Amino acid sequence: MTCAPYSPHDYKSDLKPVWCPGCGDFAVLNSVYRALAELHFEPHETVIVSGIGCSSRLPGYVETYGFNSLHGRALPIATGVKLAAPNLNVIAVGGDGDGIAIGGNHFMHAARRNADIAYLMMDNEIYGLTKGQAGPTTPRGDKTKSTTYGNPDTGVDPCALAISLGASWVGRGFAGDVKGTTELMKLAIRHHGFAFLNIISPCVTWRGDDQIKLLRPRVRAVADDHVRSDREAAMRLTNEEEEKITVGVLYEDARPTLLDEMIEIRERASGEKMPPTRSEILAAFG
Amino acid sequence: MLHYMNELTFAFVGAGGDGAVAAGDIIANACAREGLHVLKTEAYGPQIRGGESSAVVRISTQPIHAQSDTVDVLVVFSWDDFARFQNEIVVADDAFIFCEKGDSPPEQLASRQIFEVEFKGTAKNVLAIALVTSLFGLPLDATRKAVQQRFAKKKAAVIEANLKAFDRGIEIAMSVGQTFLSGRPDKNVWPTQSKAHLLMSGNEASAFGAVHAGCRFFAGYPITPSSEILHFLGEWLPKLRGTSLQTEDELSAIGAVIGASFAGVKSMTATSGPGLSLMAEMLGLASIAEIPAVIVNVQRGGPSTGIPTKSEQSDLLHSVFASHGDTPRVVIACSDVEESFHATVDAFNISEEFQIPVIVLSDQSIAQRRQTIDASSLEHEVRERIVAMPPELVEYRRYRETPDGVSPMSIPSTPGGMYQTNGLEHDEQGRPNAQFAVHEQMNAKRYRKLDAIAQRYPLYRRFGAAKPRVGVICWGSTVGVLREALDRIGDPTIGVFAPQLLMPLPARDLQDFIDACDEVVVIELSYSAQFLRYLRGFVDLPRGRTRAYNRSGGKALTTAEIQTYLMSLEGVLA
Repeated sequence: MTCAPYSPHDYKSDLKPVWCPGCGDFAVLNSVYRALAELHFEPHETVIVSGIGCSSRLPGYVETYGFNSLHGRALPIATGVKLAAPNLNVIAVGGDGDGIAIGGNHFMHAARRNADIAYLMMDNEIYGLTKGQAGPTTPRGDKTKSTTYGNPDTGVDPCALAISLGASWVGRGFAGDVKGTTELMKLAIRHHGFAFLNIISPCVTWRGDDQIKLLRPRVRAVADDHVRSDREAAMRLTNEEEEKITVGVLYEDARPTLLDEMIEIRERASGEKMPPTRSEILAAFG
Repeated sequence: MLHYMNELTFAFVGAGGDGAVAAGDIIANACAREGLHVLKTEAYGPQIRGGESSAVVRISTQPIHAQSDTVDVLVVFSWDDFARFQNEIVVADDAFIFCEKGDSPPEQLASRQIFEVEFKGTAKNVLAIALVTSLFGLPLDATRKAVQQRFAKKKAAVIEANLKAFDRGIEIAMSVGQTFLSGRPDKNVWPTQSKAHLLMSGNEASAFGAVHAGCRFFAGYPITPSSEILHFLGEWLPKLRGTSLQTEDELSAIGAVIGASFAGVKSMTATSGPGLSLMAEMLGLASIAEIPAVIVNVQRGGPSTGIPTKSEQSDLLHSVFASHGDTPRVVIACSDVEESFHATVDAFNISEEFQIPVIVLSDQSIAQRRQTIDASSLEHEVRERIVAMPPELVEYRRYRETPDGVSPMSIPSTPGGMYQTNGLEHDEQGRPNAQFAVHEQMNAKRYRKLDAIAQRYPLYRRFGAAKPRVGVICWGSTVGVLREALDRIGDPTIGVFAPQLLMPLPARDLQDFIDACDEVVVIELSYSAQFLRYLRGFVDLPRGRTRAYNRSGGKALTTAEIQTYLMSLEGVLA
């Protein structure tokens, strides 16, 4: 899997991003290049799957196999890719609307199954590609294109959601810190099982071009003494006072992954036996 | 009873726990093993467990294509339970009825030959099997063996009780047998053959077809009447080092299938109408991204939740047109259990060879009936995907223009073959592109595949008159009914054209057929005549000479019904 080292530049495709100047997703993309290079991932052994939205354009900008699929459906597709070809490094990417609104059901079940996927969510608290409607992470009361009188819905914290759904690795990053996000990405990608990394990636067009500046002082690292396997402590880090955004690894747990289970099921089904012949299968109907 | 010893239809009806369905299974298995032809259907009341249930088993020395219109031998454990099925189980005028002593039959059946039997006690279904097997000369030893096998995993006492009941059934047969049948109750009087048949459902045949075609990834969400495919592949794919995944919904099922296929593994999902509705968007993704995917859609009564347990041919238009945009896909129909196997292998072959989603269109009556087939008929050539090889990988263009629209596909983990696939319109490299000229070019490329498929896979059935005066056009489960109806009518001027490939339709051959007929009849199980409307989009059906026979599903078309209809047409032999 690992061999000749690559530089981040080697993972750049010749497609030019469609993102607005200053978009947090540029920083996330840079982190992706760096993480892949530092992990020595072969481009041809890596698949990046996305849904629809600004951030879901990301696979096209990376020189690996890529799949820009349907709105909300990155995780089922990524699950199929990984189960069919376990040797591949499978990364799913997308936005908060893609993953929590229209794709929310898949988020729940990919986490529950512990699918062998690193899921990077670029969270901008808005629908950017459709030009500024409230999303599932938009705070209550916010005025957007679709919430003229203020957002009636309460925004959800994707990390709290992921922990509650049984994700076995949950972390939060900040696009304003490329180095830190790269390190978190590497941990997420290396994690054995479903790793969810929520990356605060501000939308300069619909949330204000000073977002990075406003958010930076609110960001703080997870305390050194935080016990990652402590679910309740992890939940507390997601539910702190509004002013603070805790970045780092919030939760980590070791349990069998979906692929582990599938391999175990094959064992249980036939053990050391040769695969059945056609007449052995047809004998059930004789 | 005129056709006695040539063919008979048995029905067993009872409450949950009476073992009516098990009785049908045992007789069906035994007769299949003796080389007889069998078609078995089941019906249930609405309760999940413990409700009334029935099994109808048609047994014949000749190949069977449809359910029989009437039942010749009826075993009723309780008339209360029979009431639920009285519209479905039509009892022949000369039928024999066996029912519980003291439980009197409804008035409308009083004229049949009725025998009251003391079924009460354990294993009443086994007693009934032995009784009718003896009286009607079915293979008794094979039936006893089937009983033993059925209970092989139970405690010795259970097996013994069942075999005792079996012997008691034979005793009763001996005591009453001579009084009303000329045959000898202890002898097998059916001409059995040495060659055993397999007994399979359409769902099982589809699943086996998938395995035969090389499918090693299945993802599905439970839905009646297709879940047996999930069950079969959940059991066998792990043994074949493959994967079967039960997903959270149908969106995820088809998504996982597309992902697995993108990664190079032959993949399938199975569903019914409501699930296919949910899969519509993904169908378009597989089409534009040119990723092979097979979907078995087992039709049931619709719309919405409709009638989950009954058949209808009303997903036709949805299957051929589902998904927004100009979305080429292939639809293959199957008309019986054996064809469920072949249609599924064809679906994989076409899907892999042409990188296009393929829907296998079955229906409840095919999928959940169990029918005898020859193991030797379950052979079918298997074709493979065209994979990008090294010369192709230099400046690889995933969606390169080709004469038949098929571009060699690079499978992830192939060095140098990296590309991004896309639900967005894209250029030859797979890069998003919103230009009209590229969209037009790519639409044409994708649709060219349908032309090539229509040429390479002229899948349809023709039977009856070679140069028909009356031409019948039908598809799916209706085809078997037409075969039987034509045999009965015996008019040599009726011919049938039954397309198996529904999209793309074998339009040229179908048009030739239509043009040669004086009169055309389109027969289908759809209230809104979906097939007739669909045909009009591809062939000229002469307005003055075209008739339609169509009605709602919920009850299978019967041979008698089609026979009556065809004979009502002017000039058809009576």
